[in-house]
Amino acid sequence: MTTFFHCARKHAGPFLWFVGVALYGSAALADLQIPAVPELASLPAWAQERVAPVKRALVVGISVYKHANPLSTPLYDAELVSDALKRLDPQMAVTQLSGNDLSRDELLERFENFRDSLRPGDIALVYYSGHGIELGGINYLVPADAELSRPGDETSTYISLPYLINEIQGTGAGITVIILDACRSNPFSAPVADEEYLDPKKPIPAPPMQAIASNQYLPLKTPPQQTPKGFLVVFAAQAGRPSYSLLIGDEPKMGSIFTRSLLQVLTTENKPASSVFNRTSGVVIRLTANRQEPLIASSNAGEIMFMDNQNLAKEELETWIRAVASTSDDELIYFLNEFVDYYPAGPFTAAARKRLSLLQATHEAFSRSVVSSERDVGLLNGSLKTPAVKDRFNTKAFARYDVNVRDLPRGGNSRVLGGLKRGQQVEVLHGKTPRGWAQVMLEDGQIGYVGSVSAQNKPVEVISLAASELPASGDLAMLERWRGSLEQGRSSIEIKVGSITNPNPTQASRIALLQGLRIRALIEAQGVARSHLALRLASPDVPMDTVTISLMKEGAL
Amino acid sequence: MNARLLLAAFLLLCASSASRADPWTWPAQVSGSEPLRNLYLLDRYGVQLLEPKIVGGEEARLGDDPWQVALIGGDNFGPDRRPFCGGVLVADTWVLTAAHCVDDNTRPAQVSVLVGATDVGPNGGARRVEVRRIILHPLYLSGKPPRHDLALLELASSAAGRFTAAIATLPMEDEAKALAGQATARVTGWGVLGAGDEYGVRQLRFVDLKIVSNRNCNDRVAYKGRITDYMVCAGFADKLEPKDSCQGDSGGPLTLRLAGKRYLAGIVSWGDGCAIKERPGVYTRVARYSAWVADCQQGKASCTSPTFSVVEHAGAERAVPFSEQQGARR
Repeated sequence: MTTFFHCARKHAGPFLWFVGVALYGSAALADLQIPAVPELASLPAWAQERVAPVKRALVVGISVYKHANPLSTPLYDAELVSDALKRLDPQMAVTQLSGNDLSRDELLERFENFRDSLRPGDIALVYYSGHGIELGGINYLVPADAELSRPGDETSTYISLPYLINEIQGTGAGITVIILDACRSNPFSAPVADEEYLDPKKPIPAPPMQAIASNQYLPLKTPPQQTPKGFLVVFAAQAGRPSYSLLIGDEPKMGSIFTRSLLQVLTTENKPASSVFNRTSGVVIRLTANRQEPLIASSNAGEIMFMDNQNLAKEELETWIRAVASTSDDELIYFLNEFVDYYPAGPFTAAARKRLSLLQATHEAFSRSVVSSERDVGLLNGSLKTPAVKDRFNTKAFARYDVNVRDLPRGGNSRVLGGLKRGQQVEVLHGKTPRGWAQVMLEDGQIGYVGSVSAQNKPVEVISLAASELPASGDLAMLERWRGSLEQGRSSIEIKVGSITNPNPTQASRIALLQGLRIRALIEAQGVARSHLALRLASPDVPMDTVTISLMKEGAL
Repeated sequence: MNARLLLAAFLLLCASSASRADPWTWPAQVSGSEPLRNLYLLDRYGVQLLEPKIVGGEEARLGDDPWQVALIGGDNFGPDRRPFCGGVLVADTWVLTAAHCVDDNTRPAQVSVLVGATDVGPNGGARRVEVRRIILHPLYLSGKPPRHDLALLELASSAAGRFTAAIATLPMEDEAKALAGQATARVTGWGVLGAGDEYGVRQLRFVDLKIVSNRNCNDRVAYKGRITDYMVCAGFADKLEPKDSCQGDSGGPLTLRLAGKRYLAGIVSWGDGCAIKERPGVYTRVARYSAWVADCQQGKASCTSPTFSVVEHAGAERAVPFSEQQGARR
């Protein structure tokens, strides 16, 4: 618990908000500033609860092989890594598997136990030192008893990396980190000079074999529900390049060149994992005189820190507070989903998940895979309201009071198909039906109509900004003028944040979310009620790196 | 004895169909290893969409797969003729498909068959043939996974035409060799319907797959013993992106070439998604049912009786009691 408080102190304080504002809002004029971030203590109690994500590590080292050449360092590597992880974070659950009897069955058994111990939001770490093999673009770990696989039998002879990742991700683990000190070069393609310079761990001879490929570990295109996005795979060497055990004169107990470099950085710098891996790369390149370069295959995930369980970035806390502060339940369903996606293993992620499941239970929210023809129903008001935080296309709405769903868009001479309870979520197919009727699809697939809906889908006036900017003082007058028409309830303001250019897609989404929240806070500070504001991220109507603020009115039918 | 068996089979079939969700509405909860049709999606207008199985692959040429047919709703006379399942012509008036496509007391009038086209849209030249009779395999059981997932549709008129042809089922004596691990097979289907396509129908697609031996398919990293001798697995070939090579639409054909001729080896049945090599698509192993298919066409009683002839590897036939069937490799 001490860690929590220590961490809270470390990250609190006005200075950090200042840095954040300066970073994003450098173009802002002095007379228009983002309102200060509310105190965490001002949030509802559930949102103040910090829970450190649990880290669970599986550390595997295989030195002795029945049919393959022995390796000198893996047993030591596993030992060193386990010790380092336990020292870094005594709370971390570390399972170390090393020995000479790690048959495929044994390894899978232990892996399945590890998998079954994972809970949603956990940080899962797998470290492996031993033989690796790449066949048909897929990487496999080689168990101690594996013989050379016959073609087609690879998946039942070795253990594939995609399998491990798939199983871990299926548990809902927040972030998966896989470190493979198993890139073994093909002896037939490795430069001869390397052999005398270093003592490479020799791979199994034949069949045609390459170093571990790195392009297989992109996240799945259509992940099953609740699959986390957090994902990081580190290879000891680039594809096609050797990974050496030792420099000449080294003792095996020092660990492999990669592992010892990793641990050196890991134990001395309290930096996010991706930064640790980058620094490790530098050290390995230097030690091996450019002959071995570790590879970070995929990093589109939340940051994790090995040392500090709270791993809280200032933007994360600001996003959390701004997202949660005075947000209605229906908006929260969107925000919390978004937050869990972008910060899968932060200190508030557990609170977000908990709240989300509670809200979804009470709001009967359902998130069916509806293949839409990508039509946007716009902003709805009246009996149905679209909060429009997350979706690229606005199709989900919440009932603002108990309302009937009819089979035809008229009150008389129509049949009641069912009802929506206040707060219940519904899929809207058409928001533009005549005389205030919206076409909706019920959870059971029935299609019907809800009356008294007003669709605000026609932009009347638009303020357009670069994504890093804030509205200038000149825009203030316009917002002021808009405020008058808002009060009559027939208009609303929509903030649309376009896609953000950033090599890291998760980071891009985070920047967009935070910028949207900041602009919303700013407009609220001008006296616009939250109920008249809608925030839309990754909007296709807005160019890249652009934000628009539009006054929306009821469009012509 | 026979009567008792029949009763047991009847009770089992009733129990299993009663517990099933209505396939025409939302699936209650999509999870792995459901029959592929249970992964159906509805589009925003309530039209059922196919699970996106063949998501990559290539467009099939007209005439290359003349046995491929599309199953559409019998009351669907609109321009939107998105199929809900595939099927295979095994004779001019007989279509083989997956039982889970036409179970739940589907009546013949509820299904129509489109033949002779790779584009089943209104301008694709497909011909519509009505269904006279639906025969589910008498031992079919829905579930995870479905067992004996096979059904025959007797057509009301001949499907023969310029771009249609029946396909021969793989002879039992060739099965072991033809379905050895690593053999190449082809699966076809319409797959998902891209948004914005005219009437939502797109061209028939094919993907070349590799047969996965039942031993590998039953491994603990794969389907853990759920694959029976009456199923065959086929997964993506190496070097291919997994996303480009999944199973086709349920009920569609898995075919392979043998001595220059193409044979029907499997019917698309179920799978656990296509993300990893360890979870290939699972197909009903058609060669094991060739006697049943023939019996039904000849109107024999064994077509609907709960025992059926199983051809052993050696080629000898024996009747397999129902209880033994259900116990197979559970």
